Amino acid sequence: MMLPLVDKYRPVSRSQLIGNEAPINGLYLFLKNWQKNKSKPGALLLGPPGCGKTSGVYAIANDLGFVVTEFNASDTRNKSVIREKLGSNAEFSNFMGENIRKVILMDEIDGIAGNEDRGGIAELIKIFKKSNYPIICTANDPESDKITQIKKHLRIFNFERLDEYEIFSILTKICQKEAHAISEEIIDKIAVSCAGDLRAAINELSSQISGTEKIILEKRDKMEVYSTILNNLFNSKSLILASKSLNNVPSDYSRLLLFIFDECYNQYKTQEEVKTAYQQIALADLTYSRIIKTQQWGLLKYYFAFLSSGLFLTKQHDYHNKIRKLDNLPSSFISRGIANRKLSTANQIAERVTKHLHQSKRRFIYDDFELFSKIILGKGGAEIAAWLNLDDGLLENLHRLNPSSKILNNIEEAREKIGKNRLIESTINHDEVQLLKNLFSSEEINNEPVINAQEEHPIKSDDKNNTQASLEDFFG
Amino acid sequence: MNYNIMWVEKYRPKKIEDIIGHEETKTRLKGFISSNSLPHLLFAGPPGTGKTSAVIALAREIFNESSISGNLLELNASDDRGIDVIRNQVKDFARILPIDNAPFKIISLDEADALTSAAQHALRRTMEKYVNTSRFVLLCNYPSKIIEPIQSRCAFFRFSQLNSKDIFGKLSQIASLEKVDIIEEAIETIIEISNGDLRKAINILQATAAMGGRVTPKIVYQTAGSVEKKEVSKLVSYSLNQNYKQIKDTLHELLFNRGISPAEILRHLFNELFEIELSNDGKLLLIQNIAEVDYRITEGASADIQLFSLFLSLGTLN
Repeated sequence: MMLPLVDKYRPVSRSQLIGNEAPINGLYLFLKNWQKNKSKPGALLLGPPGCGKTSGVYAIANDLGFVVTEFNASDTRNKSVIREKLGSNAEFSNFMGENIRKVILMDEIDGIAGNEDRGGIAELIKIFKKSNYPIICTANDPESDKITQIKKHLRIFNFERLDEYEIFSILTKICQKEAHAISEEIIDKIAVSCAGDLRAAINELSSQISGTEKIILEKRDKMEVYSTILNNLFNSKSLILASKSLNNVPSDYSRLLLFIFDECYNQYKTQEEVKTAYQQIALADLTYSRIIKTQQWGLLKYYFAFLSSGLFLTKQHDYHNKIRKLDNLPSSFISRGIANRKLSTANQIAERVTKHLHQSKRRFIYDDFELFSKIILGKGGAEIAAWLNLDDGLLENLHRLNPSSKILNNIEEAREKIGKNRLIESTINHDEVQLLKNLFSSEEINNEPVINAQEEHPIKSDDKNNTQASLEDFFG
Repeated sequence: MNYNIMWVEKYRPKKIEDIIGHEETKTRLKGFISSNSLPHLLFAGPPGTGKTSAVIALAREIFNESSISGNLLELNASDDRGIDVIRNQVKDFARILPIDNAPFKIISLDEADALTSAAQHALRRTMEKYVNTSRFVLLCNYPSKIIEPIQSRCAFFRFSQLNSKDIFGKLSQIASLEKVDIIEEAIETIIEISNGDLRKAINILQATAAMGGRVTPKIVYQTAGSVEKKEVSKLVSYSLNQNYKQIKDTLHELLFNRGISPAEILRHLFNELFEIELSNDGKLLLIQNIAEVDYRITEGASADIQLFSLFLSLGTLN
């Protein structure tokens, strides 16, 4: 049977879910420990479309062995229907025995229509109080007045948009499994343009695979999202509005900061204002780095406070420069990417060479790597690379730092030269090992050491090779 | 060895005698060797002053060439700083007898001040227990981070900053052996940039030589990824003139394209403090700001954002 890709690759376990780790884990624990009358009757999952709310519920339920009964927008959900269908489902215990557990999913609760579904919400709240099973509701719009009543009865979990890297990785996996060769460029385009909506992205991908539609992606342009956010932020008329302006930020928070960093000095008039504004940004940046380091995501509210309220309060004049549609990545984004790539190259190389250079990886990476790469890429560098046994992959990464280097041309010759030298050196060593062996075998075990430790006798090393081997284990 | 290797290794001293400076330390270490008894050692001092070289030279003088690798264990505390390293790797090494009839093994722990205090306590016991088979050498920058009980078990040696004359001698010696075409001012520039760190100085020398031409102060600045004073002055004048975009672009250029460390920029700014036209109060505030930003960056904040904010605030200090 040909399933749509969206359904074919719907995750069946928590481990397959991408992104939104905090709410997913929260929901998992909530459901796992759910007890009638002790826990809240259910949960409300808030978040934009396609970020994994429904998939999350199914995957978690599957992990916990729950059965999901779903009511969605396609069902009529007025008072009597909800009472009959949901009520009967919620109140009856399962005859099959206590160990079969169930969870009721009310999808798209903000889609309960005003007229046709009259009284539906009120009935739902009544059922919350009686239900034998947890009821999970999902909604897109956290501000919708339809859910304000429901909110206070339920545990709330906020889901975020997925970022393009997460989406990119999922799309790539699907392509591999479907054995379709779609260029990374197109996948990348889809990932960026879907603005965090995974469902839209997968649908886009399947139309690419079937080749029926051309990509029409403008509508879900992610940059649009950011320019709207920034306009709202800098144009806020009150502190409340300013603090709310960042409510719907895509989950790649650090990128928001970089966009603000790029735009901010156009938004303030006096030097004093600009200075204070960037102090707020610097504080937000500091907060974010602390969050990443300590994983204290509770601090995130201060990050947003510095960027929203902080920037608003900095402003002395009522003044707004409209932000044109952002059409580029933040200016430092690419350079940072390069810097990161460099760091990872440095890490890999440190792994290999620090033993030869008698220093720690950390010190090599931060103090010596810049110079080291210049030495390797410069005159005579090939021999050093060969001496350190750097492989081709690492050399190619290094070569990117200075494409004019001739390292890749010279390396083979250097390896040969060093190989020959090593051979001579190792034959010398070999003779010595032999000599040592003879020495040991003639002396036997006459010089047993005296150590009083009872549980750990010193081990007598039989020959040098043995010690060598275990030493290599130590160095790992 | 008739091929090119890293000069820091090639010219690492083979004997205690060859180490630059530290006369008193060398005399004492040689005394240990001639009496064939060695206590546990604690070497403290800034990077590139010869601590690691002293350990290796020590090992070379005590052990035969062929048995060095079997009798010397070098661990970088910052790589695996946990207590497990002490418990397992060090212990396993320490309890095996030295090979080749050496009197004992040497275990060198680099950056010992990065060891957690729990690991240091574990170490203390190990040091006593295996004293028949092993000696420990602890290397650190700040001895105050080593716990008392360990300090009291070690003979303490301070490795102070090398003086410029010694570094100059060593660099010119290497330059002439390697046939580097370098002018005297360039060597002085290297010494200035490397700030008393001989390891860094030799690396800079090799990197400039790898450029393949005559080495001048300008080449040194370019290769060492070091900011020239005037670039920091430029940043200062941009900030006094509120040239936001230029501050941003210059910072990006320095940090990302040229790979200059933020600490380097801060160091120059700090050194130039008294030449900047600011009121006394402004200077005082600037010192506070520099200190704060330096700390934030070591804490993990983004260098470009923090530095940008610093330079903006500099513009308003008057």
